[in-house]
Amino acid sequence: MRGLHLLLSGLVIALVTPAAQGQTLFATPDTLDVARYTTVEECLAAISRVKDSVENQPAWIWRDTLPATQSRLAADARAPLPAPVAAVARRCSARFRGGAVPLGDFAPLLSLFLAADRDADADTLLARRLKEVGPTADRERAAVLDTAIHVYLALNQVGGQPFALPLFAHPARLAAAESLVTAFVQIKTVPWEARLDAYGELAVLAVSADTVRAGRAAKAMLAVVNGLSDLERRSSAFRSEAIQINAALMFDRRAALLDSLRHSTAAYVALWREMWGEVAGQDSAVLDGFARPIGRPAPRIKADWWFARDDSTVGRPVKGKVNLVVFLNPGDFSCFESDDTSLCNRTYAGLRRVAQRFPALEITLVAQTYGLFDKMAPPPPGLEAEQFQRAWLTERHLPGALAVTSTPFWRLPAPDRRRINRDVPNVVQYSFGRTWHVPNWIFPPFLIDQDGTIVETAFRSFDADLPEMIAVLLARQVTPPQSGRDR
Amino acid sequence: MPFTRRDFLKAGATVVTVAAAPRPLLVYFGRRPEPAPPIQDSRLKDLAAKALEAARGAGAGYADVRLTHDWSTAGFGGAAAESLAVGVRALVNGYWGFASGPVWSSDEMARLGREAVHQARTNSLGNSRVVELAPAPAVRDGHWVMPVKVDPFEISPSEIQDFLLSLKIYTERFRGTSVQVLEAHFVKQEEALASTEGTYCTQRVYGSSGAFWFNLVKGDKGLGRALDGLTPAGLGFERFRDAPLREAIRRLIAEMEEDLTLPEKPVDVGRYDAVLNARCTAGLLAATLGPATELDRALGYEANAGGTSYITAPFDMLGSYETGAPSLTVTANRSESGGCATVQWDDDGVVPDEFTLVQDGVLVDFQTTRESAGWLKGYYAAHGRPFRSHGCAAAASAINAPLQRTPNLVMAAGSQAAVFDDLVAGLTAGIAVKDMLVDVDFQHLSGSGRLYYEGSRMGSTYEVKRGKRVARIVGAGMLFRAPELWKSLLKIGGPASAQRYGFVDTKGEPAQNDCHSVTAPAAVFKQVTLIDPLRRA
Amino acid sequence: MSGLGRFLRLDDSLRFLSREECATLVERIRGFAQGGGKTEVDVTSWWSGELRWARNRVSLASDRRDISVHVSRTLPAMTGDGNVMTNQLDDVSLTAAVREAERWAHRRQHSRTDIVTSVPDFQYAKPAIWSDTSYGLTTEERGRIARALVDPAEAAGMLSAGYIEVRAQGTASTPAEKPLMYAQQTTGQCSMTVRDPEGRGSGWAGGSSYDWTRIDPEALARRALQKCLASRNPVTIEPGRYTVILEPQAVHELVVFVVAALNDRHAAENQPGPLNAGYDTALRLGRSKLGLKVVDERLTISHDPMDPALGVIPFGDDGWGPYPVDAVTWIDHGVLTDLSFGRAYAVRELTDNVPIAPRMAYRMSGGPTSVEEMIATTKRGLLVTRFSGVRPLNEGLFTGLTRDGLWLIENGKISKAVKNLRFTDSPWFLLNSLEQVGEPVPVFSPDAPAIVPPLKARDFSFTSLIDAI
Repeated sequence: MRGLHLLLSGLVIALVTPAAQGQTLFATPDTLDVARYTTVEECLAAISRVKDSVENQPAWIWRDTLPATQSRLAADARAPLPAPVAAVARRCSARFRGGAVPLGDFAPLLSLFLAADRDADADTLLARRLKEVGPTADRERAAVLDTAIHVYLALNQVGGQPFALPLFAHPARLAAAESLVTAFVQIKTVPWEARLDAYGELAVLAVSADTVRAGRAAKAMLAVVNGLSDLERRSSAFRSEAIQINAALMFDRRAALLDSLRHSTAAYVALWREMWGEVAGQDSAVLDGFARPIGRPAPRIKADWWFARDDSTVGRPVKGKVNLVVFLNPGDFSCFESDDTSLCNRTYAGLRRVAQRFPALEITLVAQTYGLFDKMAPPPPGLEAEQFQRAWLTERHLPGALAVTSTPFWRLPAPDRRRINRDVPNVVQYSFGRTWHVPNWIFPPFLIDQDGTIVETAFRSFDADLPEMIAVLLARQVTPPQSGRDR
Repeated sequence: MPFTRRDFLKAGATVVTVAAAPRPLLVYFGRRPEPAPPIQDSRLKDLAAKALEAARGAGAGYADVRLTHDWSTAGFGGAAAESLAVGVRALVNGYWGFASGPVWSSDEMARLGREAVHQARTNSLGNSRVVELAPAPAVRDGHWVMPVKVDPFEISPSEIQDFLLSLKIYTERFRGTSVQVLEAHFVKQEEALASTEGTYCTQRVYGSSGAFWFNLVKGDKGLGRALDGLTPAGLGFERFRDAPLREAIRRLIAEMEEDLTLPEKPVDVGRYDAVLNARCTAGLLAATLGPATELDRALGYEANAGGTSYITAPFDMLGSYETGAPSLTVTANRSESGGCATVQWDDDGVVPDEFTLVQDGVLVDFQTTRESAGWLKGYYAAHGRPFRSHGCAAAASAINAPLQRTPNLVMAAGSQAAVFDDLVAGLTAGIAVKDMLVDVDFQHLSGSGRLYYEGSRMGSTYEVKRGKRVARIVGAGMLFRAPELWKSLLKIGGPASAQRYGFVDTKGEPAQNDCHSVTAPAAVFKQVTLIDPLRRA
Repeated sequence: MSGLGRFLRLDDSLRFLSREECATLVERIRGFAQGGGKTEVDVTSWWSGELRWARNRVSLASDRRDISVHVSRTLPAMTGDGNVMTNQLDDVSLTAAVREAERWAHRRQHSRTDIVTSVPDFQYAKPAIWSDTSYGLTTEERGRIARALVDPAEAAGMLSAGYIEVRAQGTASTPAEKPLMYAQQTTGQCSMTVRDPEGRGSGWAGGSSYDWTRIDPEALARRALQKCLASRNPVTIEPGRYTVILEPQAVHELVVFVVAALNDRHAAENQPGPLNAGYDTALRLGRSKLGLKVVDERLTISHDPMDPALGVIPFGDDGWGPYPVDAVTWIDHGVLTDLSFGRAYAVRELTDNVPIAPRMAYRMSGGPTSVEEMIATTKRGLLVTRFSGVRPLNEGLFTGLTRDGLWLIENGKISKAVKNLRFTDSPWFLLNSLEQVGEPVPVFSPDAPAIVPPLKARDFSFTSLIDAI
């Protein structure tokens, strides 16, 4: 029939990503009333849409190379759903009663109830589901609890893959989740990695909001690790859990760690080595999984162009001062068009806060040229370096001196001509013989003490862990520790 | 100067007031333009009359004019669109002329009326040509609206988006699934048709289609499939919202899971009895008998474009040619509810009738317009049948001249209540096919069916042994020759096996697209030729 | 108001929108925008004069015109854009369209922002794509031409069906913050199929060009008639591998798929196919066969928009900003020397602002051997007029049908007309199995002009018989 000529026989071209449709409440006089929706999934879809539009988030979420235990989830978990989103959730969910709904809809309903702030209904539904499963069907019970934990914590990522449902538990329901995790880890069929991850997710979300709970979770993680056999510690699963375990140690032993840092960097590093020894044994292959270049001398930053540097005679990191070395790009290219609520700009804001709080801190931003900037291939690298200055220093007000290296490259011979970048000295040096993966965007930074020794490269965010350490290092500078207490 | 949130809110406030109103396109009835009114507005009749007046005045023996107002939602990569068009067709001494443009105004009506006649006149150049239009009663101010439950242009696009996303959420609850394609698209057309025979009718029709494809991965094996039932149809948003799509998704996942348990085999070329599901049967019908029974095509009017028909001697073969087995009966209509070609009046102003193309295997009629029905006048008279058009004239919009297009086709189901699975159960040895991409030659005679899609593994062809599907055949194709194919019908599935599918075809010079539905049952074909389509000679 | 007034009274003097009218239109549309951000407008307006005939009589003659205004609005601080199309030019309709685009921009978000910043300005070529003759081919002349084409077929007792069209189009594109790009072009086409009334034979010929004077309709009519007569009463031959002599039209129908592959460098590097050379694990990127010999060394496939016969609209825009269409040589004496790519690829992979614009127009080099000589030097082979329904089976393999004339050649002579066959083969194999190449000529290709030689190749695979005529 007329007009259906767009429906080319069989050939479908574009993928619509429905999750990314947005409706701005201010502008669209939509007559839509979500109370008419009869299915849970439609309610979840409506909440997704309204949430996207209200938060104005780019649908493309930048994924850092760090695991999902860092600042992003923590910050998200603290805030409640924006009022318009919660309103849609409540209105749409009104027709679903916790006691009467079919259990087949369990997971999406759970998500819907929490989005609508109906925790009692969520708990009732979960209890019904668990009762239906029964006390002896271990695998099924574990699966239900695992799903529930994700829903209560709004864990949208599962090992790099998106969770199968949209989740809206904001703020994360930490108390409920903790009891679910406790029940989950007691099930015999649950492997140790899953137990560790469950506590880990809880810990990450709890650290900002509820340090006591986070502490419990961290301790529980370490208890799991302590219960492992040597064989288990040599497994690849253990290696991939190293970051989780590090985070647990960092939180659980923070007092001792800060204490040792007050003595000296060497003491701090030694304490870490001791803790790694405890969890990993002495197997060097396993230990490598935990290795960070802490205790190493921080290599000198080289650059072809410097911007916002007060004194060109002073090498960076600056000896005699506490330093942050922050690597920028290429990941930051994606940040150029982000708006204020994006991960990028939140993280940039964190760095700015650190600089403001600690005027004595020396910050060095490290970048390299790529022969392109945004959607243009610029002429000489010097011009590209200036564009970095404009984008990061002028427009985004990043603090510190900016060091830009002209990336050496070669080209595949004609006719291919593609540009192949070579390693730049700063990245090579800070990889310490490829034992450390230099971040390809702003986080995490390298924290360096007054002697030029790398103190730490793992922090929860610019606002957590890092400021305490900087404060300790600065205090050490003013009041050197008494000798004799060094280890 | 960075754009501030306040500016944005201000802008938003303004948008609120205007956006609620329907988007007006303008019509120039008199000196001042006015928003394009609903198609029943009597002023449009006056406008149309001006075109006919001009055509008559310039010497047309017959003329008609179409005004169309088209709407289309975004979808499948296209933009939301709205347009107006008007086209005048004039018949002068057996020659047709046509003129069209995008403006609804009195001046344009007159210009197009004259231009259509100018086009027609220029072509006789001394050669005679006879056009006898089959009689059709004049339509006196008819109006019709395709009954849809939910007008997709009256609801919020957000509701459509929420619905699509909810399907994705629902599907991805099943472990291992991931949705690849999820699209919905809607069109609406209002048309006014007037002719020098006194016909004036207006109608509003809708169309919708969608695509929903997802993958299922279990371990290291995976399959991709498309949800059935979303091909183009004359339906509104209800065909998504009110259809049992979740049930269909569950069933499809269950089928895919079952398929993943079957071993895979390469094709073993040869001849096999084959159970084809409704989708395959409909596709074969749409590729062969559908076009072959277009009378204009059979007489060579598409020879320079899509080709001709294997019904090579239409007048001789009518009433006697065996197009298929005695169990084959194919009827045509433009009235079934939800049919893609369903209208109240065709683009000649004729009320289409339901008619039989193939009765018990024998060709008994052709698809016709008023002009092509004229070629059958003698035949109809000789057989005591009414001399009338079957109402197959259609133009994509008023910019295009009407062409003869395929109506909705219905292949009669068998009398016994067998569905696809029953037919498979009744097969001792052979193959079963659930999806097929059909290719035919330029006479719609010989064709190939590709029973799989390289790389995406979307095909579902099975080896059947003793009534059970025992393996999936990968990489199969089939060859057929239309008359032999339809004559090899062994069994036809019952009414419960019948499904309807929409097909979009291209025809004409310049090319136009048009949509029609085909309803067909599952069927068993004898000794179908299975090949390896990738094998070179 | 100028465009508005003129379209109220369309006349023959200017049947589509000029550059100035488009520029004014775009300014008006931009003026309707609310909320800042960027507005991109594409305007296409066209006129078409058409004449179709069948069974030796004209079946329809038409004069048609239409407009398409495509508005895209991107709002600041938002990552989505709204696209709307209308075909009306008045203030009210355009304002409403802009509002609708803004509404869609609110609703939709993309997976990545495509807000283009400071794309450099380019110089655009001025190819030969406009012909006054084509534009001035009146209704009467079209009728006379058709009559002259039909008469010989009718006199020979055959049935002629065919189509003549001349079309003029104005294309305006305004990427955000860039000056308007505009091109006006004409296209002309003429094709016919002559068939035996008993359905025993069929012949075809066709030509297309922006310039009607480059089409010789009467020569086409003679050829179509001659092929029809010579193709009658074909006999069956066995499918199998044959030496084939492909007339230029048949070559074109296969080579378009080669050209499509040459137009997608990213796919050649990253997807399996005849131009892919696998993944380089050391460099961690996909490789194509750039630099390698991919077809017979006699073949060069290139395009120059300034070629008088191969003009195309000289600009493109793939969402990363506009770019020029310049000359390219994809295959040089058999070696793959270039692959087309868009701006995104140019910037990211080559750190270059200038893409090699994809386009489907092309010239294929030739050789000294005429078709007659090819026939004379063939012991056993098939002469193919053209193909129909060519479809890909996978990345490299295709299937399709011969049509409108297939002859068996035996011992240097055409011996008989044979029934049509289905082939299963690859244009890449074909272009690597060449024996002789002839002189390139323009072929029937209204959408994108092409100049193609006839070829003789061995071992072309015909896999089944079809007895459609």
